[in-house]
Amino acid sequence: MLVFRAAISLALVIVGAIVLLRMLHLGFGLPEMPGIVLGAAVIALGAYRLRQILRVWAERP
Amino acid sequence: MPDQHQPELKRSVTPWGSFSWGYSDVGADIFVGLGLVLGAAAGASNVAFLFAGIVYVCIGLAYTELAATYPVAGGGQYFVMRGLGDFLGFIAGWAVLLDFTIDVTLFAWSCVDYLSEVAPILLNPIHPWIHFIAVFGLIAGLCLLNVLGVRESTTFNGVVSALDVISETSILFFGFLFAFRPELLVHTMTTQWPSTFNLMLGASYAIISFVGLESISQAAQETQRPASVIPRTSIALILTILIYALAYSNLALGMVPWHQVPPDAMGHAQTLWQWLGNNDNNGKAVALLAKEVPYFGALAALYVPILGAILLLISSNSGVFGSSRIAYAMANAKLLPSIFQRVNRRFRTPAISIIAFCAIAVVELIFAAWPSLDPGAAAFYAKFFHGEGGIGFLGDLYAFGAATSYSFVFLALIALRMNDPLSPRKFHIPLNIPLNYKGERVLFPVIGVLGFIGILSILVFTILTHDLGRIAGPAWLVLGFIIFVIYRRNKGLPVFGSAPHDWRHEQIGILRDAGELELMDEYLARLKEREPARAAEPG
Repeated sequence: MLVFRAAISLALVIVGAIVLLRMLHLGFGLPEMPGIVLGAAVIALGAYRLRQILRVWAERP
Repeated sequence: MPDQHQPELKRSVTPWGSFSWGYSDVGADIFVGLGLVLGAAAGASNVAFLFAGIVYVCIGLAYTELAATYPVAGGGQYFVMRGLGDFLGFIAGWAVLLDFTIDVTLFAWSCVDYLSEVAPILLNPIHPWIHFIAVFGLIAGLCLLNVLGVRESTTFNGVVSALDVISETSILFFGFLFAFRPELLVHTMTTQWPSTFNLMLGASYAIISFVGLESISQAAQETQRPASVIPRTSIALILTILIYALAYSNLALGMVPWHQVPPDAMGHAQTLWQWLGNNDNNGKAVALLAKEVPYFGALAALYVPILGAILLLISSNSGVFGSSRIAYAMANAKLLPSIFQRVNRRFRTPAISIIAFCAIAVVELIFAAWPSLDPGAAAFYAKFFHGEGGIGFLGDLYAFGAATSYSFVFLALIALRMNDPLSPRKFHIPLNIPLNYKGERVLFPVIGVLGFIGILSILVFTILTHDLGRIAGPAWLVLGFIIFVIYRRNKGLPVFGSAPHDWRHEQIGILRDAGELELMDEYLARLKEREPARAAEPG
């Protein structure tokens, strides 16, 4: 189950990175902002969940 | 407190069960909200979602703190009653009841819309009577399921929520990987920016994509160790739902579809987001979007309508669960007649409440479906309500009920921080100003004020932009007020004032019943420190 959840979280980080890099490649203006916010937020969520999973993994006997 | 001999609700909801109750309700909202928001806010749909999403985060944080501090079935209604008194508690609870009954109908309706992707006989524009009967059948079935007991529903919710998290992540992963064009997103936003009216309409529809945290509070009375579980599940829920809503709206505006989008009814070419947001498709937008993701869409076309329909069905189920528990809590607090407090001895569920609120959901269904069933009604709706009906009518009321109850919840959060600083809070909303108030050190919640301004603005948008919502919503509140006045006068209780409550003893009982014994000891120690004589009283 943990591996499964980690895979989903990793997928989120990858999606976020794709969105963020492609939006930044286009520019840094107001129209690009929703995409940039989205990319950053998706990376943050994925990383947050990965960190939690790693913590649980480390605490396993 | 309920009668000692009265059967009480079972504490059978686990952490995953608590998450899935919330997820099945809020997670399903995007299945309905995406199409409605795209149809209203066009190129600014992502901005509408972002604005509503920020307000939602504030609401989520408020609910997390309050539900962890006061883990009782009443949710928002209980917080408002405790913070602002019986009358406003009733108004907030009555508005939440509107939302939960709408929830039952709206999601059952949308469930049938998603099923129509695989069973065209259910298409509302072509077979309105079959659509109506199918929605009615779903509501009746859920009513029966809930009368039989909560555990069966919780297990069902958990499995489907897990499948949906995987599915939604897959749609977004492949969509952004294969079909997302940032330049198309920027182009759509700059050339298809809506009018201010439509942006307000879009923001008011976007808030319905975030309604459902109430479910976690509702389940609090049936959750094991709620003060520890609720913050964990709520924060996970808030982040997951927010990201999905932002991702779907950006993807819809910036995605190149796998297949050519069919022309509109007039034969004009349309873009993907226009196709998803039109009246024929807005009830099943996520299934259509998933189908247009290159390669993955071939698989998604087979299962997303089914999975979406199941998730919408359990969201509808959350509405049945929530409305009955709220009514139970309101009857407990002498805000509604005691008949809603009765728990069935065999199934240990509030059967009378469940049946009563499912009946109200059916009445709402009749009002929503009427224009599609009767041409005369369609003409009437067209003349007086700009043709609003169906899913739009239900969305109107959903937004009104949510914005009204959430406004009061923010006020209650502030009031409880000021007036009840002794109750242990395992979770605090961030950004607080320390103050001294009535001799106690209290933390004034800045996010509570910002959230209140945000949700109040959405309530104003709803009233300004929804022709039916601004009539039917207040009419529901007036009906509730009349019932409340009659009931309270019959019972010899004050209408605008509050009946006497011993909140301190009640809080001890709440923490003890929840199994939060450490928090109960902490609370007793604080009481003893402040009022040694009173804390020593028995009970």
